[in-house]
Amino acid sequence: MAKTISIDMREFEFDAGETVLSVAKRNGIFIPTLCYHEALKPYGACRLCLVEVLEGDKPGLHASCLLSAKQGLVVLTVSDLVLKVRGVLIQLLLKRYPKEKSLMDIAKACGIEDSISTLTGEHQEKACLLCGRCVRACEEMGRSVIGFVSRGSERAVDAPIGSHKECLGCRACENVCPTGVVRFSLHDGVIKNDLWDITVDMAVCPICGRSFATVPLIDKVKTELEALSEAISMCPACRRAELLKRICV
Amino acid sequence: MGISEEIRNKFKGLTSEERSRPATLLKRVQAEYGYVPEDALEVIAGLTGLPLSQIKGVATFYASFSLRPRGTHVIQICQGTACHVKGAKRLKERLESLLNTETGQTTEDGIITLEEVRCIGCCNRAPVVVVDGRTKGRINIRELEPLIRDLRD
Ligand code: FES
Ligand code: FES
Repeated sequence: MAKTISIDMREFEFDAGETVLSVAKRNGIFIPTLCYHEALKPYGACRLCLVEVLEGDKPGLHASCLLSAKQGLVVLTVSDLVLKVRGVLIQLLLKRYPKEKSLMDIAKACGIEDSISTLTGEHQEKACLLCGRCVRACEEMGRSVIGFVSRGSERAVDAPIGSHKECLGCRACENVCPTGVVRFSLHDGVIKNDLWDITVDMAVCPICGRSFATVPLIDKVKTELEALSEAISMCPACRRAELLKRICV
Repeated sequence: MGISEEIRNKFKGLTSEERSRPATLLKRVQAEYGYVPEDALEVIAGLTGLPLSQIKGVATFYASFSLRPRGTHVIQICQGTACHVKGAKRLKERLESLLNTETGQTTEDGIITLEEVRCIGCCNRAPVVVVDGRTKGRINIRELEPLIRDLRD
């Protein structure tokens, strides 16, 4: 018999190793998240994904992104307690980052925009919420160029100068950032990140001269995928043509 | 001898286990130089095999490490919750005006550095200042001037 858990009074099957959040998402049950990203290991920092466990090892509030599904687990995603605590968490975040769009979207999705409309503050565009997604992306997929520094109200994400040269320019950090504060932009032959003052050289396709990926990224692929080695320095279009030529002769 | 080389030499005599612990190495550097130079972070990253970003994270997390050179004496004023309730903010402002410097800075003569810390774990003795590593509890605002005078002598 397949194993099941109960979410909001309905029974759902789960796969081994699955979290409550993933079971809920798969079945179209909404749970707000901030620090969670499907490409990264769960981190449990923001607590927005709280659910209330009624029956299980430890009844009470748990972060569903970290909570493993277990036979017989009974959880609620919208109990009074969950709504109350989650509402406070969202308000606290908004108090610190007034009108930040990603937070406003979460508030709307949770149907609490009325209770936050009284929160005033400067409109601050694109803030860093310290969710740590970029730090984890860099750790898991890049080279740990960025990390948290300081603590308390000074806590921030930063890149020590000495680590700038390690940056691959893979832009995984930019990709997972929920607010868009992490950004790279293309300039003459380089990509630049203003937040951490990182610059990475762009490579140029030896055939057509188009600039399409960063030098360190190509170097990395070259060393890791030997068979492709010379073709990888070409842009995708020229690479296709080159590989086709090789196949046809 | 380059600074990196010099720092590496300071770690001689440590066991290989000690050499794998970033906080131990940071402490040694802090004790030797009175602060942690940028180069030391890289040396420590190399020795421990940890990313530089994480070493910097540790170095900036603890108030006992400073990334900037400090004065001969260091006054740390606690701004934790208990001390705050006991008027630590006023003490801090008084220190700033007595030393004519801002928190986080060193006096012009290079003698005293003023820093703020968050709860040093002896709230029952709030408000607390730490002078050159020694904790002084239940500090009265009037004690600050003689304290600074003593340090200057
Ligand atoms: S999404 Fe689960 S704690 Fe942030
Ligand atoms: S708040 Fe100052 S010692 Fe705890």
